[in-house]
Amino acid sequence: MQSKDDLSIVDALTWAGELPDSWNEGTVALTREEVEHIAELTKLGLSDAEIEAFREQLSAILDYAVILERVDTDAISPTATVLPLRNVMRADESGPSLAQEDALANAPSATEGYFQVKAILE
Amino acid sequence: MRLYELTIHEALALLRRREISATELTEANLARIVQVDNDVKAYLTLTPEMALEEAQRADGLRAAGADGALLGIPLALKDNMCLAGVPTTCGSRILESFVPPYDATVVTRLRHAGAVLLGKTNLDEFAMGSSTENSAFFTTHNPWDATRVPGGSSGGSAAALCADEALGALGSDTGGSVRQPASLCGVVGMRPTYGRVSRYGLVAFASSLDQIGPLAKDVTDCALLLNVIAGHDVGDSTSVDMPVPDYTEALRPEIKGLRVGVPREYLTAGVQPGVEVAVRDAIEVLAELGAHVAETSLAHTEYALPVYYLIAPAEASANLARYDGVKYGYSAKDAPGIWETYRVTRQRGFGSEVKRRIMLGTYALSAGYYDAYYLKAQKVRTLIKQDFDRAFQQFDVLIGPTAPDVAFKIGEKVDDPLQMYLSDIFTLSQPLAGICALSLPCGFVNGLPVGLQISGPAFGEQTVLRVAYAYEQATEWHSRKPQIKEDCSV
Repeated sequence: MQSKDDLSIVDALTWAGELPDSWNEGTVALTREEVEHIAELTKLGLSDAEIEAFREQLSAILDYAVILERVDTDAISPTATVLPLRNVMRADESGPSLAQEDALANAPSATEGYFQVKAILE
Repeated sequence: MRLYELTIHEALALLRRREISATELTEANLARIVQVDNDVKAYLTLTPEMALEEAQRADGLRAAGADGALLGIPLALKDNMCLAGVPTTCGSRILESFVPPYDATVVTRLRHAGAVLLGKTNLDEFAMGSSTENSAFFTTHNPWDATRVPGGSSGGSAAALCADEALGALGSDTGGSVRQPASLCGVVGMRPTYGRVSRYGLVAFASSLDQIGPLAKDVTDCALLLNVIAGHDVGDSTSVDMPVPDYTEALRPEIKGLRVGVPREYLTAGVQPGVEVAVRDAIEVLAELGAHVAETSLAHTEYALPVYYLIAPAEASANLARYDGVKYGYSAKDAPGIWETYRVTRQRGFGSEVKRRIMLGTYALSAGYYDAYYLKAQKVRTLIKQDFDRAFQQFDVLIGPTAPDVAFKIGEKVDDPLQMYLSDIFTLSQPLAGICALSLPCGFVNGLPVGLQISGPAFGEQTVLRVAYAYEQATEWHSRKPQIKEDCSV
């Protein structure tokens, strides 16, 4: 209970004003399986040490994010973008674009004008 | 005269009077880099041959009677902006070998104005960090104290400028990454309004927050750089189609009657006492210059940190999905099969902070958690924005510290992600609210710079620059320089 991570959350929450009721329960205690699941969603290979480290750190950060539950947002719409721009369009006309050899120039593996990848279907 | 110590506006005056040449100016900067960069470690890639060619071309153009907003001026670019033909690594192993086939729009604009590009500066990997310690290659040192960080993520640009290794620099700001290193290095750094500067060619971190901004030795230089980089771009559908004023016209040191708000949440218990004193002294200066200063409140300030650390990683997890070993960058060729290629490429290519944020973002967006985390954060973001909208009805600008502390020691916060995140608390709200902000030096604590942050309404850069200029002209902070150990063996 007295790990360095705990102390930093306390500092953060002290700055923010007060500890939420759920803090002591450690509501967001991610399991190893949950961490592995997230890593698989984003196709990120992780070592055992990384899985454990992220399990602790993500749990702490998400625990801290629980303070957002204090805010009443029932009547509030989300801000996806701060600008009043919507659906910026242009005419459907082709113009100059990147030459194929430039587009392939950084490819780890390229052949006959294609990016080459390992088989997708088994 | 040490040419590398000049500001952009001083150099332009000398160039225009033919008292110095662009070639001499660039040579002086390149020599300065050789002299100090082994200690400062601001640059990842130097482009001396290209720089000298550009400088010579600038001299030729000037001799033929041409001029340009930045003709012959040597600048540095943060290494997450594409410069065609030159490695753009984003401070990451996954892009260590990536050479962009195109220029970022800001680069095209700088070149059109005649600027000379010296090289690419160090950053936290993919712009994720507040100290430049997350660079996969090395840590940049703060020129004021080499045992301390320059801030981040644009630490290389800020340090290069502070050490006179460039006359100006560009950085990128998502949660404070231009302003916080500017504060820690004692230079001027500005975050323009979202949409003011094109993001085409800026490697994306968080698409609703990223913005390229100038770092400069003084407010005049900041305005000169903003003039060149701002403007609509068809290559960036989030850039606004609004005319770009001449920002140098805003540089009049008169702020009588200007309404300055001081949000009480920005001078709280978490601020280092010396920083608070410096900022309160700065507020006094503004009052003496005739501004009407009053306290105000941005009630949702305390939520900016959790809101940012849900939204930014969520957007980053989407933007960094493209690094899969297929189109560019590192690829784990030894991995058996396509899926393992993805997993191993990303495992080996990304550093731990990047992985942490990708994981956090993926979780916040995943089925079952999207509403509780990402959507909730986007709603609280609306409230943060509304706080600023209300404040700007009563005030022309808002003032506070840029960072809660001065530069910390290298290694001090690296194992403590939440502590590191706290160093951004005052710079997270402005990107969330879609407004502009600038940091400039306002004092020192134990020889380390303190930054004053001036926030303005969306597209209110002129007012922010005017207040900054007035303060700068009434004080001496911008003329203090660090003592850097010069490599005399060279």
